[in-house]
Amino acid sequence: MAGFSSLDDFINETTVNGKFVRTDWNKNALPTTVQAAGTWYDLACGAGNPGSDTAYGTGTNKAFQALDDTSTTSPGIPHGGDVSTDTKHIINASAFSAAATSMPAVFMLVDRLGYYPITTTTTTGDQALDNTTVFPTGRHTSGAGLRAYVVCSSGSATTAMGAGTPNIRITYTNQAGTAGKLTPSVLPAGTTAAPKGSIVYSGTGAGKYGPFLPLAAGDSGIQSVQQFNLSATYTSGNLNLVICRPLLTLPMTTIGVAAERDLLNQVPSLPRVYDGANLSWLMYAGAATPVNSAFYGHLDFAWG
Amino acid sequence: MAGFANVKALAEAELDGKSTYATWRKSPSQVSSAGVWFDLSMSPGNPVPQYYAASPGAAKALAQSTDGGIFHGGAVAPATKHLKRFTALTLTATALPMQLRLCDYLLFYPFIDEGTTDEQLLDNTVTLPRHTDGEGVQIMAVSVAGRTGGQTFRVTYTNQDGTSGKVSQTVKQTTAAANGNIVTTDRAVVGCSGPFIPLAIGDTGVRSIESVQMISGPDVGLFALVLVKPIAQAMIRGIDAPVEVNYFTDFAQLPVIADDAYLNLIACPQGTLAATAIHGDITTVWS
Repeated sequence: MAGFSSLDDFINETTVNGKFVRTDWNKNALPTTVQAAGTWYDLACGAGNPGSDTAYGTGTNKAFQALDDTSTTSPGIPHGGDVSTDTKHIINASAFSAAATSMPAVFMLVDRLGYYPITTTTTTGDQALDNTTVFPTGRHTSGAGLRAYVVCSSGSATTAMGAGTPNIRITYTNQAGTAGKLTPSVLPAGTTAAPKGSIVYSGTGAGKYGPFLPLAAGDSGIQSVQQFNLSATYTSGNLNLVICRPLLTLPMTTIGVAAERDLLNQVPSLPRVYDGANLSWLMYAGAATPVNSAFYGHLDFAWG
Repeated sequence: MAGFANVKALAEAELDGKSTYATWRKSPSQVSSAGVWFDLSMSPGNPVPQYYAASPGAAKALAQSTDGGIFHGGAVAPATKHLKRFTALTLTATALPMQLRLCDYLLFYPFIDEGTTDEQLLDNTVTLPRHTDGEGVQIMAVSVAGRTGGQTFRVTYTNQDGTSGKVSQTVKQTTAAANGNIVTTDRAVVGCSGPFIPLAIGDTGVRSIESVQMISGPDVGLFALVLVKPIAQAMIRGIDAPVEVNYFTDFAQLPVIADDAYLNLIACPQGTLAATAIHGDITTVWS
């Protein structure tokens, strides 16, 4: 049986069998623009270790691009490689910063399955997405628990979105396989001139959500996305519709004090990290966070 | 069967994605006072504020689908949705420690005129949209135009059993002027009470308010009478740590959030909330 049958089994697997790995990470706030209070950001676009994403915005326009732990242009936090037929779980997590005015903040760890690059951001109405490449098999296969967000980024460029505040809507197939599901109203509203790395509909004001696009009533996941819709032109810039599975959150208030999470003593406990998971952080900025503010932390993984 | 049969069911619901996570941020501009409860729904941020603006004295319902509030996901019936986790934090110490109460704002009667001692009859064409039996529903009086303060008033209401003509205890108003203050609260004014108007002895909820009357004399202000269902509570104790409440593991309860609930917060600051950004998140789970 995969997993841990008891605390004794957990201790045996991690101490006797050595099925444990610790990863330290360092990610910086976005490199180009002060992060705005109340807004969510994708720290994959920040510098650090793992390195800055250069994959967003690349690949065939509107075609799904899968991500895993071997993605060289969009690396995730290392978690020790494949362990099948065992299952791997996060047992502890931490994050902190010593950078001035970097607090408060909330970090959310996600497993990014991939993204749809959307360069046609002046096109209004439904745009069909290409699902020739499907969501990675073996990771959250039913779609249950998967969420979507939209981030501005274009390879290594630091280009921001253009002038525009379009409403954003997706048409998707939900976790039960029901197609034609729509983002409900009030629709998320894009922010004009949203900078690289920002989740463009997050922030404060009408039509702002964070971090994920709302799903239709009763839906709990996404199997695929068929359409992407902007109600008005964004004038310029590249968007990316990212599909991910949220794993944990870490709120922080104090510079120099680590936010720590024991994932064993939670309900549900021990979030699973699938083979191939591309682990990355989303960040809610509680204050105007200076460019390249450094955040550090660690993740403990165990498997059995 | 709606709800969770056991801990396994609760864990599996969240693992299956039957959960919504959303952040909120309220940044009041009003100069509130120590010990005077304050309605954060009228403050800027996310969700956007609302101002109890509607036809005077006529009941108006509030709902997520029409008015916003803290986002908690769509309707899940016949399943039931529950509050799993709540986080709140601030980096401004002035108002701390500060109690918070998360409420489902059901309905309000706008622009109650304090300028007359006549009994003011209220229009109940619109009825409670949720918690329709009134059980646990409370009344709060929120200032929308300042007053001298110190006057008393009472309301006549229909209770949770459908009995009309019930009369609340007589409550006194604060002298604090900020819009958003809950006018029946003030630590320094004898006769003030908590955030909710005390009901008649034995009553546990409210279905509607028939009338309101200034008792000791008129004043110059205006307030809204708001029917709310308190959902949960938390307290921000300091600026050096977030308050994280897991309602299952910490309190052995999972408060129900009705479909289309309009969620927002009231707070009891120990100083002004002006220029205090309060951040947080909620996690709901359904089954």
